Amino acid sequence: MVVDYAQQLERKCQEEPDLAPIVPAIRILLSCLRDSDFGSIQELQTSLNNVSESLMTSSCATIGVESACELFKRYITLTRLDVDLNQLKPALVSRGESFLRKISSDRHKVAKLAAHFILNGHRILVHSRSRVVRDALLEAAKRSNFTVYITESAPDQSGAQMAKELSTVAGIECHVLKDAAVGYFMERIDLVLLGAEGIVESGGIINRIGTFQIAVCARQLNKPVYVLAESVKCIRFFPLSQRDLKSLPNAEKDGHPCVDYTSPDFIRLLITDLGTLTPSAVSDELIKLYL
Amino acid sequence: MSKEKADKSAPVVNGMKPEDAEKARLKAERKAAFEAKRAAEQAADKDGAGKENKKELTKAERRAIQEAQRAKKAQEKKGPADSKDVKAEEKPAAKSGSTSDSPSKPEESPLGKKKDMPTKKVSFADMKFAANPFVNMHKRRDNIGNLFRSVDRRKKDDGGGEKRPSVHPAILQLGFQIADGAVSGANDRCVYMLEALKKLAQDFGSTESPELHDARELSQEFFSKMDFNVAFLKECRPLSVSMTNALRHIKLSMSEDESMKNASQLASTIIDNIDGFLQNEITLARRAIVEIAKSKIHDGDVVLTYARSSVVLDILTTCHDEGKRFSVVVVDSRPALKGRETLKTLCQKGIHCKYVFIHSVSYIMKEVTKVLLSADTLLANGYVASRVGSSQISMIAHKMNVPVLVCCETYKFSDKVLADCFAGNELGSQREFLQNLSEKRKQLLCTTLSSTVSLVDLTYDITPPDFVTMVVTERGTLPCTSVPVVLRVRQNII
Amino acid sequence: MAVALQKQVSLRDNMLANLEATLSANVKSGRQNTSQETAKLVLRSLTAIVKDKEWKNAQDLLRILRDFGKRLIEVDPTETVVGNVVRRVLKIVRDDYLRVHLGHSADQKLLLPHAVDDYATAYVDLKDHVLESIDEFEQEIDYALDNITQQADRLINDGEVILTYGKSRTVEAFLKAAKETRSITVVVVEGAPKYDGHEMARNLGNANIATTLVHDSAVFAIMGRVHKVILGTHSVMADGGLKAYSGAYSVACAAKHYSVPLLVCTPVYKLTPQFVTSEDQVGFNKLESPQEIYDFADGDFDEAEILNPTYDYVPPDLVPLFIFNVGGNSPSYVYRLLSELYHPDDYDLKGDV
Repeated sequence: MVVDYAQQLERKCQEEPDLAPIVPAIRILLSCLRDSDFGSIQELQTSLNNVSESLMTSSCATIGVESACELFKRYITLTRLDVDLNQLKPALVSRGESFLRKISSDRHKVAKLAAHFILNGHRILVHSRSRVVRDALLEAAKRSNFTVYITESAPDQSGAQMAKELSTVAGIECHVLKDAAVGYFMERIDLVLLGAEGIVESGGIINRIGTFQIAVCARQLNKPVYVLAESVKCIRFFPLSQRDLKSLPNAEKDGHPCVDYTSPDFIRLLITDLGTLTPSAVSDELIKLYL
Repeated sequence: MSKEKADKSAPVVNGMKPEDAEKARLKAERKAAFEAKRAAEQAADKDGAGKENKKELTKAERRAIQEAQRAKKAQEKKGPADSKDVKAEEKPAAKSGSTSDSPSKPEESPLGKKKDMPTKKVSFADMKFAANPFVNMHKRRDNIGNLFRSVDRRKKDDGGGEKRPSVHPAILQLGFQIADGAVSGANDRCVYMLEALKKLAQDFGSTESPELHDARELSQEFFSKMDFNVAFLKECRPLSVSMTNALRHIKLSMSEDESMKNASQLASTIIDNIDGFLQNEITLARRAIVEIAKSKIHDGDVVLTYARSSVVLDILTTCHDEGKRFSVVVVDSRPALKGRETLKTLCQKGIHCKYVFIHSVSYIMKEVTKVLLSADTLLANGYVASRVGSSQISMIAHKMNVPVLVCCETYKFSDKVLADCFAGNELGSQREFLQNLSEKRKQLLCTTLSSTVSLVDLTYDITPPDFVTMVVTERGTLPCTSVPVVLRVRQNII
Repeated sequence: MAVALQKQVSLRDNMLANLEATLSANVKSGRQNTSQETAKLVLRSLTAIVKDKEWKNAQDLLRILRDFGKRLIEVDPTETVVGNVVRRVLKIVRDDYLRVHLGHSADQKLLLPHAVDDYATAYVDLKDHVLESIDEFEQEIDYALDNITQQADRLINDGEVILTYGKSRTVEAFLKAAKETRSITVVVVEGAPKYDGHEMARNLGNANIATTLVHDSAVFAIMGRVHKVILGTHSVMADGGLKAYSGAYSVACAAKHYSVPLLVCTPVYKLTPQFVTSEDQVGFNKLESPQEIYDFADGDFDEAEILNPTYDYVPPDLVPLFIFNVGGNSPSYVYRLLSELYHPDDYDLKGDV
């Protein structure tokens, strides 16, 4: 059973590469909810916990998946619990479905909001491949002309892939930079757009390795850094240093770190489906989400 | 006091054994006796001031004594020594600059609360203590009449009869020009002064007798004359570093001469020295700076400059003449609005310019690729002293990562160090403050302002070396912090 | 029925026309109402709409108010107070509706960030509630200055040298209030080209405050001797930054360099939910006539471009403290105030309800 879920997730991720692993993960949880036969709320919670734990062992699980599962569990149990057990399950399932609908549309909301920040003639730096950022750029391309500089992001060259997507779909002018050349090009940049794999309690973000360097460089040269992320990626986690990230799923590959932590001083604004937030507003929103 | 015998049946009080209880009692008695004694002493000190609130009164009394002492000291010693005592007694919370209320505090009653107002209202520029940074600054005259009067007074003081030294007419004329502002800028003032000194030397050479004297004696005589004249210039306006350095150069260059000369030979030597200085340190240096600086300006640059600087104008016009395509942002500020002359010159050349006031520098800075400034002097700790406002521009340029280039000939380098811009600064006259304002505003400022308002017009400010990217001199480009090295090199050569 | 509709339309159009005329006259002539005057002007017309127009339910009212607000903002997009007041009133309407609808405190946060409510139920007493709340808001505007100046003696110490830029009614009142219990010296930067610093110096001098007037170029030079900087502002942006009058950035930057505490005194109706993406974004800055900087009579240059921007953006990291009429805050807390004052659906008045 345990292996099943992780493999399922991997399979679904491969089938639909355009979706962040969060959505298939929630789908799995939802189908689990639908199919399972539970006698009490406790049983349900235990079984959902087991499923989400097994999902986290999958190789394409990110920290966003963990936060999404957490939020899902809280969201569905917020219905009135004094109803009949028979009526309970459909209620829970319908809540789960509305949650799934919401997070599927979140990315589009963020992209629309973020498109306002991109003006004609801007030169934008983007790190590696982020679906949210890509959608935002495609949205902005409908009304402005701008140039995008994308870091190549070794070892999987995902940045180059994103560049290809952007230029073929919307004809955006893209330049692929070597990861080490970010400092050299930073003086020409007008703003930096980053995605996030997770938003932590301090208002900082956890994102693909290399993000922290870019943020530090941007800050030194006074370039604004905007982070685009859905609210479902908010996680109850407060890292004090980069070493604290070791405990996260898929944090290391072949001995090299895959993610790093960028503290909130380097971020000017976080653009989420809850609105445009300053990093200090994030903990407030997190509390609202998790209570 | 006799000790009680330890009784087995004695009760245990508060968990203590009887012996311990005894010790505690004795201790308490001693303490009570001590307290009583202290209270008695305090009561004796009060002189019948009342027993209601012991602490406050004692404090207030102490304060009153302090105030009385302070007032006494203020009577005896006048000036900055006073402020040190005042500073030491000031509360640590308030900065040492907050001694403004001290002159009026002795007038408060000893029981006065902290919130009593000082009875005398003073404004920042009039305050006598070190809190006021403008006290020791030279204040430029409101009209030249004052200067005339002082010259007349000198003549009168000299009395008739004996031949007394008087200020050379060339120096006199120059002094008035400088005081009036007709001649301004470090280079110009230095050049004109040297030209006037050349005339002085010429006259010295032709009026003195043609016998041969020891060159050193002769030069001493000349230098004392020169000092006398320069003192007049100082009175008109404090000498700039360029001027003092030039004077020092002239004196040093004559100090080695041991030959026998007559007056006219000495005069010609001095004139040659001055000419050499003018040629090497000023004219050729200027050319070298222009050569070096223009290589830093590329096509498509947007160069920002402040007010009017002949060096910067030279650089920009040379670049333009050589066909480089760039545009200029001219930043200007009141009261002198010298930037308008720069704007005129550049526009006549056909260079595309933008013109802003200094308050909107942050608006324009994002378009700027370089900032080009000149300097009055470079201090030994790397600070750049220039027209007031330059530090502000450099700060904003630094914040927005725009390189700042300062052009300065090495003869203007100074071995002095300054921590802030107040020592050695000059205050403009009220007339200068009101320059370039509409009549209506002048009226407002002259007539409707109450006596508590003062107008302050600073002349110089200093820019910290962090804000300056590069200094362009005739010896090449340097970081700001290399000033002492250059000074050492110059000394070795001379 | 037709007559009633006509009356509605004409009433609204009259009011709108009047208000638009007043605001645009100000813009064209360059004379500016103070923010307080503008706020009250807008508030009065919104009150008139609530009172006299016919609306069936809250949704209707919201739509009407939004349309009105949209047209007002178009008169001068840089005048943020107009939009702020409209948004406050919209929030008032929403809150009162929820209060009446849910029967309990409207502060209870619903779990989905955007409430599912559609404000469609009609309530008879909603009008009275709304008018009452608007009245409270008007009082808040009237007393804003007093509330700010009350905080003066806690923030200023005896014998301090305070720097301020140009003229601000709020700062003037603040300093005069401080003078009553503290002895202070004020350095006023004259603020070319409007030179409203001159007036400020005069007013402060008449209030017996020791004042020194300096040029704009002396800001960095004199900052080393200053204990505190107090500024007013045109608006406060959603990230805690300022949209202040040109010159404020230099002051804030210099204050940061010398670690001099900077206080911004401003009433809370100047807080706007807009973000600044770039300083030359549409609606942020306006360029005034270059005549003020360089009189045409003094010379004509074909090659020269003379710029006179009105506003400056001061980023939030340069501002340590806001003194609002609702209390002191740091810029990182501004988002919280925003969520209390305005509803997220109203942030973008150009969109549809």
